[in-house]
Amino acid sequence: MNSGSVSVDNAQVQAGRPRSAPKRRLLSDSAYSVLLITPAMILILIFALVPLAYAINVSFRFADLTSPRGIADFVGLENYHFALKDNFFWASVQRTLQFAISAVVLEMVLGIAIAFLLNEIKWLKGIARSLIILPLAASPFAVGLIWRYMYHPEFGVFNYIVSRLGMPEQNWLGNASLAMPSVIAFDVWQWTPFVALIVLAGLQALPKEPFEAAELDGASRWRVLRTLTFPLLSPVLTLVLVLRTIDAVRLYDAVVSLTGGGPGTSTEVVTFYLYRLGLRFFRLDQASAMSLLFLYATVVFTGLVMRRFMRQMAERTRAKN
Amino acid sequence: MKKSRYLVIVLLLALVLLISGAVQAQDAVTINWVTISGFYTDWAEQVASQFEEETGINVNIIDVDIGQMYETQVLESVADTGAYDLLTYDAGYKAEFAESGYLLQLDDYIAAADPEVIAFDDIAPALREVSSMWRGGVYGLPYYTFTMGYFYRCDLFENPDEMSAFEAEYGYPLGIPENYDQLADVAAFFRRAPGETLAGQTLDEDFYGIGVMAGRFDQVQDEINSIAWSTGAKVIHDDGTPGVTDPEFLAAAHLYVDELLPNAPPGALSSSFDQIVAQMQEGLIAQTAAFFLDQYANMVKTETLIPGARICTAPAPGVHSWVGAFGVGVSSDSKHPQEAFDFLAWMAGPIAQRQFAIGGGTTCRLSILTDEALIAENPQTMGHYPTLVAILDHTAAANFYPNYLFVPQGGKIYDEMTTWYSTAAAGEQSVEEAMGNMATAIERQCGGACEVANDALGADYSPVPMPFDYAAFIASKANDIEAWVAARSS
Repeated sequence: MNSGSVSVDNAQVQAGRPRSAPKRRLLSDSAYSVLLITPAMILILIFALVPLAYAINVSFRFADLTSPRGIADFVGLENYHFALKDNFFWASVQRTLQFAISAVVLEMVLGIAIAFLLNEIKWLKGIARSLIILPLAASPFAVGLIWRYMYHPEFGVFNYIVSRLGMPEQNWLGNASLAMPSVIAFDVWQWTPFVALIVLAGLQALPKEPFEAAELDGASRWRVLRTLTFPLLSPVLTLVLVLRTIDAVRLYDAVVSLTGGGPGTSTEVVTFYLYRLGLRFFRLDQASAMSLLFLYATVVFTGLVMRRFMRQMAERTRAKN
Repeated sequence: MKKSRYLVIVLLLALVLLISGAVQAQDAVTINWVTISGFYTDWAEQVASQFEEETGINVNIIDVDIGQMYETQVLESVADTGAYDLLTYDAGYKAEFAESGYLLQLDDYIAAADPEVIAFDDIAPALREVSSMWRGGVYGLPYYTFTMGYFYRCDLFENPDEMSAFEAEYGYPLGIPENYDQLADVAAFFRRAPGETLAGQTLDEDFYGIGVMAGRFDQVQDEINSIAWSTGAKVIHDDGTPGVTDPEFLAAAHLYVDELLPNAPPGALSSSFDQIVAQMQEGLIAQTAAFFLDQYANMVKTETLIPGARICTAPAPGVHSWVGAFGVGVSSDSKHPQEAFDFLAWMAGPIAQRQFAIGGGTTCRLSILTDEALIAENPQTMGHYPTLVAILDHTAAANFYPNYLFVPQGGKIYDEMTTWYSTAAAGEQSVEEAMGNMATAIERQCGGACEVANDALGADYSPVPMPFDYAAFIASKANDIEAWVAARSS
């Protein structure tokens, strides 16, 4: 029983007592909210904002940790200038985008399809969900090493399969034009279950009434999907898209374990390039400038997509109220 | 009252004991040695516990993946954290570690040490040069050599049908290649398609003339550089300018890309050393040049996996391949430099190194590498020692070392090579374009021409390789451990 439905007896009892002044609360709602989020904000400040501020600072200085000068004077926009004209950096950005777009599109399509399939099946749903989560539970680096052997032209299982199918064997990681698709396939194997599970949760949380009404109206399955299911799922889909995209542009472990960035530079994505520049060559200044440029692009993309998501959420909340 | 007095006394005694224990614990020195994860870690633990028993000094071994070794140590050293007392480095990074002041100069410590414990002169001179010395001073001791040589299937090389077919085709006898042109001939000769015969047997699968490590890992540069050095080409000239765009260097890179790679298994473009071992064990390749001799114990397993197969070793063609070792030095921000040095001297010393060798490690000490009785007892793990000694002796006599080992930015240049050499190998860029990028990278890392600090090699330093006497090497039977042992026992 909540406070809005006080029974008549109770109300009478309360009316018979002398009315006491309402208790003064120690904290206002907003102060209480601030208090609740303070520990999290302190952690974010220490582990995210301070390093970010440091990276911004370093990006305007000369900073080569292995040179006698170490972290030295301000050099203005020199590092940003270097970043903008560094062809290898931009080539790695291009490869990152190629990877992220291909992998995320495939993961979204396959993940949604698997989620619909899991939502429909009647038996063994629990086992199917447990099995599908396995790739997510594995370390990308460790599994990457296993996949490296699976891709191996002489000993790998993939060439065994294609040869049994009568197709020519491939040099999956050694061919410059096949290496990136092979890394994408690995990422799709590992992250499609994540998309599937989130979308499945979204599907199971959809309200039943609109679908029952559509069924009564004799709406076709395609029409239900187009006008009900996907619009109602769109906040979940947007969220998964953003999460997967952010994760995909940070690709590192799979590249290190599968190809080491090769053959040549064909799988050298931006994080791998920045790792080499920052932690192998210790040019923290140039690596920081490039990281910040890349961070800026990621934040702008996320902001644009999330704006739509937040607007949808706000509209839905207003509609409920 | 009496009872409580006893209680106070007992408590006081306990407190005294506790404090003395704490003081003792504080007094016990602990040395932190950062080393390569999985590289003879059991041996390292054993050596550390023996040292602890003898000296009371604790040794804490910190395993780090080899890929992260460099940056982990540099970050701690730059920040002067004192986290590590002993640093482990590849010979290619020695110049940077010593020049940047991460390592303590050890000459005084060595002079004060018991000569029998340290036995500094027992370390192979070539390995001392590349792993210990910098500008005439000693900065570390090598404990594990990965010097490169040549592995081949001597059962195939000694097959009469193959020998006569090779001689008929190339006009000279089949044997250990003395230069890379001969290696390319052997690679092309042994490339067989399914249905062709090999040593009288019809093949079901492809057989390849050579195993190469052209993936984007450190080994691609070891292989291309070995070809270059054997012909006198240089990564960096004596005046510090890049040599990778010289015609001789380009010819070396072309030989690798155009003549060796086409006769290697398709996996070559994503291979590192472990795949070459697997290819040999699977009976897919006839030979591999510029390959780590310390992998002998793994390579020789081919003999049990493939009936009739025999594995032999030799110096790489032109002999001047990668001579190197992992070195250990005392960190300059160590809080216990003397204790750290004592452990280093013990670990790299003759007693611990003998255990290391018996356990399958490839030691840097000549007294062990030339111990004929020990080798005869352990041919499966020490069968490469006679070849290794021949290479090390020749290198020391020639006094010829790659220039980039004497450049403080050598480690970073080595890292750049992985990218550009693999780019050429994969055909992503032409050899000329990739080497042009490599030259730019060298100048970028050095900020112009590099400073080549090889003065300490002395007046007899040779800027060009010295020919190796392959005939004498073969006559010594060092290539074939069975024959070598038999010759010494008869």
